[in-house]
Amino acid sequence: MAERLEAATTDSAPVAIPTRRLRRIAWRQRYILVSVVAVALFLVVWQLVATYLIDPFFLSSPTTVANAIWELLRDGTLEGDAAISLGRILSGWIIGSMVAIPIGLLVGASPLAKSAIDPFIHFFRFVPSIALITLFIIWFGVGEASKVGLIIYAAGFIVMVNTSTGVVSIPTDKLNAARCLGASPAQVFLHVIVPASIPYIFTGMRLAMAASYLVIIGAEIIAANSGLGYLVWVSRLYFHIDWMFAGVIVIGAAGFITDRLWRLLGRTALKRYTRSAAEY
Amino acid sequence: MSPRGRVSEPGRALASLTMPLAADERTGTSLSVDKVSKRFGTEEVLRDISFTVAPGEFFVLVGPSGCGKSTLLRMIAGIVPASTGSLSEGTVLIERPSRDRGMVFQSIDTPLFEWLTVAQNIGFGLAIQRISRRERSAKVERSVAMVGLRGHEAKLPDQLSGGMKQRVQIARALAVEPRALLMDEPFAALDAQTRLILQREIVRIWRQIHTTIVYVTHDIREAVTLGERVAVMTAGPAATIRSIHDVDLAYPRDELSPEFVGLFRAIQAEIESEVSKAW
Repeated sequence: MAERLEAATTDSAPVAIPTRRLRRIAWRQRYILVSVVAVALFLVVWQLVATYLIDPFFLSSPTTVANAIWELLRDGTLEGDAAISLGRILSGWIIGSMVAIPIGLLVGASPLAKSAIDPFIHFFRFVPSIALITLFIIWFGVGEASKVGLIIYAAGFIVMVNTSTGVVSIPTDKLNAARCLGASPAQVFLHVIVPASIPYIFTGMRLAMAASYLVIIGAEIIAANSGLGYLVWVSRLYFHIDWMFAGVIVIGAAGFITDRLWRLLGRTALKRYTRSAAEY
Repeated sequence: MSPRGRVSEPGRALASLTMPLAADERTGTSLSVDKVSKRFGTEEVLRDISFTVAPGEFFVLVGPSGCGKSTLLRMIAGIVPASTGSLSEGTVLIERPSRDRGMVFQSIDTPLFEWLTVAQNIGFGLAIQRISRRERSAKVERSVAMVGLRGHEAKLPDQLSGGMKQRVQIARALAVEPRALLMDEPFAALDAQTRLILQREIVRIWRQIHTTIVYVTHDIREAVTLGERVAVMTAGPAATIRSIHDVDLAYPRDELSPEFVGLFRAIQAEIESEVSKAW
């Protein structure tokens, strides 16, 4: 009798899922609609404000910006600059994460590594990468290396700190369970510490992605002749406020899309590992 | 007999166990604790504890909460070192965790590997030994059958109830064929119904494979239901073993028999006097 109780609760679960899932899909559609309405409302207000309240020299209206985007797309400037910026961001972000994850794992797992590396992490992560632009240019030249290097720097520390936090927050029961099953320290590291840290690594890389955008735009404003930051900066010389807005919109949209793609990866291929980290 | 739940029914799990057991699985190891003390900083948690658990015995440690019984179990596991004294498994000194001594933790969620399926969790200890896939799946299947998890192999831990998760923990520990199973209040976080079922199950499993079990609990009824011997601990700090009771009752035990009730009351009186002393 009592045994049936426990079995029954789990056995009945699959039957309940379809209707619940349908309801959830319905709600999700409603929430997407809310987002669409909110954005539309914002655009309408912006259009009204730009048309009736503020001098178009200072604030372009959405329609002007749309025209500017179209204009810049037609002559190839916008997609060229976007591709260049995205290339820098993605390569710096990926290289930075690949360097930072092993260091973060090591610092989280080994007190010795922590003692040796921690002071540097917590010193340099407070030195803004923008402050190092000139230095990086002197070291690596005005080309791609200095810009990608800057993103590696900016993304790396964020990923490192998050990874270490992930390692430290693994429940000791989980580590002890593996040890009692005969896992060596190396096996515990590889088969428990690494997979159990993925939710934090995932979130760290997501934050680092945003930081990479901040840095590259700054770097392109200061020292570049291509990229979205450069586009926004040179538009000023031609008093093309609409081009500046076009650049800004494309930066935001690119960030939005890369973030959603990253989240999608977390919800699909990495779902088992990320758990609730990819929910938001 | 009415039709019963297909997963948790003990009789069926037993019948599905077709593979014969190896000789060394039937007999667990002996465990001895010899003049063991444990200090955390300046505080002495356990003082001068000595006892021996016989091969294949079901040994229960019961005591007031906070007395250090979990610490003692972790020392037997090799997770925590003793400050003085020694612990051994058979003739071998216990210095670090070993797959010879399986551990089942109280916490329901944290000990499982949530990114692995039920079958992968259970096969973890075998996979890291690089046992061939074929042999591994046979052993996993046997463990799954033993704890009544048939049909749940492909699920992730998040999809299981608390009782099922503890079954996974037990199966995972048993899959590597340990010589002793150490259980730290494994059913304390479960609801009363599920706890009763799993208490019956663990006795069935123990009688099936006859591994040595050291079982920690604060629940006197549970202690008398399960153990062949029940050791009562004093209240901390500097806790030690106060008495060891033989429970000479056949399984499954009748909780209302005069012997059961008498033993229950005797242990309860001891623990009550310990708790009042601690205050």
